[in-house]
Amino acid sequence: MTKVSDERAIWLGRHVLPHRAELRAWLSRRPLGDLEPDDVIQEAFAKLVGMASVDGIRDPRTYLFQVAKSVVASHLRSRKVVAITVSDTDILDIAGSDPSAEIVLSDRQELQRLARGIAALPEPTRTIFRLRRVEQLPQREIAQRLRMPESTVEKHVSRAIFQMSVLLGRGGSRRVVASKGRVEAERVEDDTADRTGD
Amino acid sequence: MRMTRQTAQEIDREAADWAARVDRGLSPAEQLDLDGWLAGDIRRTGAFAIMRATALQTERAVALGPSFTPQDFAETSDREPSRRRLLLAGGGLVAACAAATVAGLPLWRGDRYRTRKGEVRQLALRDGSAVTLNTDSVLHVRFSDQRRELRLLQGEALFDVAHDKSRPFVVRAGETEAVAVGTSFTVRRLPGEAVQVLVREGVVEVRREDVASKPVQRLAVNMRAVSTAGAVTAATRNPVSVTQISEPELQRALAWRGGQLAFEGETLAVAAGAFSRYSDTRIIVDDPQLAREEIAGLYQATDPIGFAQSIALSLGAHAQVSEGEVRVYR
Repeated sequence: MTKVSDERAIWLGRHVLPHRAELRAWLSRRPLGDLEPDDVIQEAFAKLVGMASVDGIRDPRTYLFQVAKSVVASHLRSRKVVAITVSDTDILDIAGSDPSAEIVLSDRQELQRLARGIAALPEPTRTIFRLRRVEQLPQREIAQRLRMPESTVEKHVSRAIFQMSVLLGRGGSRRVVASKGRVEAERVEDDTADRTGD
Repeated sequence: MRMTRQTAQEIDREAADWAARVDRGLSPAEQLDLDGWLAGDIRRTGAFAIMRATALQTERAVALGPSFTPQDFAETSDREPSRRRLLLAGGGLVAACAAATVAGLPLWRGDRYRTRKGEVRQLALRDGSAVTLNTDSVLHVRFSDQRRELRLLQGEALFDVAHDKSRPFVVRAGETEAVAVGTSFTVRRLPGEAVQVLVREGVVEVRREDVASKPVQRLAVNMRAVSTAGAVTAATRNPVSVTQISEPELQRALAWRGGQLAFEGETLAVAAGAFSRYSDTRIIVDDPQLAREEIAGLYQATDPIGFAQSIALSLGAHAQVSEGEVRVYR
């Protein structure tokens, strides 16, 4: 069993998680045997957790797709575990591969995304998650304040995390057509936001 | 191999449950459960990593600040909220009159400020007034054209009020109200204690909302009002008592502004209680005789261990530090 260190989780959140939805869409167009796209995604993330170091990964998106491919391949080969090997030809084969397409949101964009994500939560999940994350109240204190059992607060925190994971997996822009277009779209959004700041 | 294989969706839900448990802290038994759960299927490690990554990534939402109002960001269209709105939400001290709704609490439109244990924070209000919020305190602020209304939900605050005759500055702490026009005063509301109002400059009126006659006490410089909590009976027609205090006493009462606690003749038990407001490290004095010892001096409010050690030295006692507490004994 592999421990999930906070450090690795933070790296995944920043560099890999944003590509989850795109990977899912890509996987859904490929033959996966009896696997679901999310089976592959989970296993691919598990492999990234298990790596001794991620320092050498310069293009996390391509790497994620590569790992996912190898997960599929090893399952298709009668579920025999095969070591992950990244060859040049494999990388070329990955849809829309473009190292410059890695989504790096500015702090402000990311904060906006979180704000929208929290706003999109249903009540009382939204209030509970706001108290937990924005006001940093411990779950126990939230339970006291809202006069509900701690287990209920925990359940809502779980729902919020689940829903936020969907949002963060979407990489920040839903107007993505091609990988080149993504970068453009981000830039346009940025300009618009600046202009409305009068 | 595959009898009733869990679906990826089920695993994601369970992983989110585990991330929520990690978010509140796991007991050693739960940690073992988590390890066992993770070991059961490789996909679980991946799903848990995704949820844990999400949980940590959302920690950044703290930068949205106390005046963050989700409603402002509710998506009616696919458009980004304006930069201006975000700046308001992000700059915690900038007044953004917005709805702060907390289920189960009365609706209060305004800004909300909170300090954690050990934190002392300066707030600049829109009208030019300044508030210094002491440790573990919650303050709500709402300004209108007629009134500057503040509610101290818990803790202690010093108000340096900008002069504005047309808009009284009203601080409510429970049923006690302190009204000023332009002055400097503190309000303190601690669990199990009477609300206290202390005037540093100017004049403050203190009244009780729950008393039919609405008695008003006028406090001048260096006066302290103690407003007794609990039911008001005929016998306690006026639950607010006022006393004059000395200038050094006033300065000691305000030492927290510099992150310090000042004592002069308080018992060790009282001092230990004062430190508990600023830190989770408890000072424990079992010996009743030692607890009654009077102490004096100026101490760092967030350093109960340093206090205990130096007090132990002066009282010929010992201070023993362990997890979450420091014990003073002879």
